[in-house]
Amino acid sequence: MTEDLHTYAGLYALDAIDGEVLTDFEHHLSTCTSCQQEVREFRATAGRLGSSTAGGPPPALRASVLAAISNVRQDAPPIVTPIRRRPAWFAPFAVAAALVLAFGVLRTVTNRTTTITAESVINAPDVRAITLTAPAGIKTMAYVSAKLNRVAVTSDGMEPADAGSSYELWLIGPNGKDSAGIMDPPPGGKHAAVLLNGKLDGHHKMAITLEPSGQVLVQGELTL
Amino acid sequence: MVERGPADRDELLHRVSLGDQDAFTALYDELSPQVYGLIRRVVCDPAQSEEVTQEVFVEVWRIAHRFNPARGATATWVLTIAHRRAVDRVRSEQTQRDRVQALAQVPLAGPPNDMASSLDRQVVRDAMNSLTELQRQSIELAYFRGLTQGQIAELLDVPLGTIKTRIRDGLIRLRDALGEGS
Repeated sequence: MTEDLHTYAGLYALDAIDGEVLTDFEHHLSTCTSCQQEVREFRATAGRLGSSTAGGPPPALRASVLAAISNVRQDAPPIVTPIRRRPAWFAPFAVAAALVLAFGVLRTVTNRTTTITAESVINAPDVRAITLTAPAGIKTMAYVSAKLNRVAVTSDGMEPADAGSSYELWLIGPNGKDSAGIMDPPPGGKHAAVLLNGKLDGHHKMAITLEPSGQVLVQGELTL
Repeated sequence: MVERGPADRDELLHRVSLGDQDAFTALYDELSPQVYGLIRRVVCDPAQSEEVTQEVFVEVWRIAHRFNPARGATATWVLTIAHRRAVDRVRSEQTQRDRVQALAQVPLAGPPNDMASSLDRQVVRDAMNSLTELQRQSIELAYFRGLTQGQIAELLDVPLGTIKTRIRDGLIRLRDALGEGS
């Protein structure tokens, strides 16, 4: 079947496969660089066909689209927060500033500096590293800290999702699944650790799906 | 309207990803004729085409940060989203059989192509004409009509595997004739 799957790149690039074949091909595509290349090229070719059909949209649509986006929040890119080192000269100012700050404000500042990051989960004293079930060629680890009540994930070998698709993170518990953000691996597949949105709480499983098809690529138990 | 090159569009989309609404407006002006033209060709109904066009641009706004210039041109990225949305719309709206039967009556021609530069259209037309009849028909039915492999096979009365290879062979020929730019 794997040999055969290579020849589906054309149909896939034209969105002309569905059902099981689509799921199988997307699974194959997540690890096959030659198919990824072919899909990219075919989509560029299809885009040329698409461009040749250009016809003016009704002028009223422009205002409608611009009004629509002003009400739509953009998805935040998955940011790995760097630890910001303050220059040495900052220290005296910081002390002076701290002295004049009310206690409540100071507490807010303190809380902000202890924001949980993927790094802090991975480095938590009680962290448990769990290897998740992933397609061949992809290594995905979940890091669970019960104390911080959060989960982080790392991946190796996962190529970026195609245009129009994305990898979605999920936390799964007795009450169903909760979206826990988007994962956006860079080309080459080495991915900085990502902190899952939402608390660990009762969630006992996590998964990574390819959206919009919903195919489950990676999954595993988070039980401690 | 000022004609922009691919690199300018990448820059626009980058600014969009940072929440720049003026950049979004410029990107809309730049790409909406292509996006609407493609959607109209697939969806046919003008009111639904407008709805889908709006959905596409809202999605571009929302997920602009996911665009990676190393993996293709801005126009390709946006048109890929547009095509998928258009196809989703036609597939949810009618049953397979209705659509296949209806399409058998419709000639393979789109709405007027006023805005596409005639040179670009000529190049694409020449490339399409260099394909075999079956390659050209299969690609048009898939891309411009939003049909699946199974529907094309049924409509043209050809085995599934033949559709798959003809589409792939046809795309390779088009790719070589058109190059990668967009």
